[in-house]
Amino acid sequence: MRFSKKHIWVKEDGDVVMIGLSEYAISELGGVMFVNLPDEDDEIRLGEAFGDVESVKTVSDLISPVSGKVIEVNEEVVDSPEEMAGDVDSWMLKVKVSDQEDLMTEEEYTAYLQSL
Amino acid sequence: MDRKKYDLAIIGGGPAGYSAAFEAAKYNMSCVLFEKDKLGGTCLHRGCVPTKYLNKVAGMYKEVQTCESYGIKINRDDTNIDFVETKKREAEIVDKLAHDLEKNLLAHSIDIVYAEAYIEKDVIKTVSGDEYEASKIIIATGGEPADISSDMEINVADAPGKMMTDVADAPAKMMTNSENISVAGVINTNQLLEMREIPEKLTILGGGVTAVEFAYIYATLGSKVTIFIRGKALLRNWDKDIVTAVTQSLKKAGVVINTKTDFSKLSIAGDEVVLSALGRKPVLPKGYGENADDKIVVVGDARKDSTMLAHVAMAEGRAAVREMVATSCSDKMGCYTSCIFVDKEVASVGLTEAEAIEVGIEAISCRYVMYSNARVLISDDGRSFIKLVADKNTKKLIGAQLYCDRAGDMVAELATVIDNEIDIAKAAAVIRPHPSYCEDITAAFDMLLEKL
Repeated sequence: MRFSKKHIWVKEDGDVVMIGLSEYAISELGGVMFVNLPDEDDEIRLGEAFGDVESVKTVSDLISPVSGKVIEVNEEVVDSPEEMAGDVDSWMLKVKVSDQEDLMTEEEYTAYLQSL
Repeated sequence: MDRKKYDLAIIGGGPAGYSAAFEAAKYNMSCVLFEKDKLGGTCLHRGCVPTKYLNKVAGMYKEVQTCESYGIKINRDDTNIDFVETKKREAEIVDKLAHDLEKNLLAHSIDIVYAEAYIEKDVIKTVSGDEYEASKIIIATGGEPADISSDMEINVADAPGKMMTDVADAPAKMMTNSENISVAGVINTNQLLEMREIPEKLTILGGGVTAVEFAYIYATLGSKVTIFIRGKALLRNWDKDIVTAVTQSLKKAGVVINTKTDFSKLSIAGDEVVLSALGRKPVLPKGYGENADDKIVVVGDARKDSTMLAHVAMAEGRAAVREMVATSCSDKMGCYTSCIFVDKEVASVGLTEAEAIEVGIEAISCRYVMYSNARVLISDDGRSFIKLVADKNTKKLIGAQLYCDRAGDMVAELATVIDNEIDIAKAAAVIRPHPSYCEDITAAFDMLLEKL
């Protein structure tokens, strides 16, 4: 897994990537109440919001670390958002990537979090 | 032959027709209203009222199943639905409303003729041969469920006489293809509302408001409901957040949603009740030509471009009469609301963000989710939201989409803000009651102000 500054993790899965929300973000939100994601076949763009996550406190945009086409949406995360964790099983989207930004390793991300 | 003469003749006694009649009475116009079936039209007898009643019954049934969490202990094994009783009460409510409507029309000196009327060279005639003349005619003949289009092939296994070519032979329950081929086993919404039992399995063709409302009602009452739609998602053209919320609501009720269906070859098991909710079409009286005639105005569902909303039909009926009387009041139609009733209410007024962007408006939106609303938590812990859309340049509210209990009532205040271009800061400053659902409109406006 590699991580973006906007707390999205990215993991290669064959010729697509899986993206999800980091454990840090989930705990900072105080629990995920609902996730709004794009549809299959939608295009998402690097640096732009591809959806949002609702917590009791607020609605937070999810900023995409990649550009590409959504191949699959994880319905489980939409149906049971309260069970979302920062692991691979809680992936949100599978994307066929056309562009992506530089991402941090897990260690680099952990160090980055200290600086916040 | 003695012809009765009137200032205004209205063909059709549904929302558009009766609203026009009451408006005419305000201006002391002599008015005759023709109704071939029952006053109140589709709205009262086959649409708005019966479905909202069934939605209420579904909601009550659900509450009974969850009231233990409030400390109310009931013997749930005894709970069952006597649907014959349910439909009996529905009929009582509908009949009362129709009866009161008739009394009200007569009290306003409106003549009612219970007959099918048609137009022949400027004269209105009924099948029994009576003739009427009027200076102006309003056509408010409504609409009906559309036939299944001929490019669809829907086979319901073991349905009596699978494909019948003679409509005259088709038992009353059949839907027709537009080439007069009956599609065996498929019923329309009128026929579903006549059923006095809850189907064990219900398949619904279509994903619009009608399909969604019936899916929720019957799934909650215990039917195993399956939806088939052509597209990717339910509620085409509705705001994305609303589509997500309604889809979740149906899934939680156990509805199975099949998207991207190929309707040119669809097979359904024979033990299903199959409802076609694929649209409606206008109905026009015989003799009404397409030529422009400023003596005749078409209002409501009878219009080709109809919104198929009763309140819009009412507004059109009233506006048509005011135009005849040529009053100087402004007849600019305000924004109108569309509602959906599922586990919560949906109300959408004005533009969605997507619609606004499409017409070149620099639109911004905010979604206020009501997770901390006391009334929401008291009644359930489901997700409700108020979404507001504004024009970044004019800084005015241009649309709102709500998903929460009472959305259909809360939205009226937002329609007022939009129609009257009320300053958003002023709208936010209104002191709304607490604890209420509507108080979160303040929070939503505050959220919007931060973005503007």
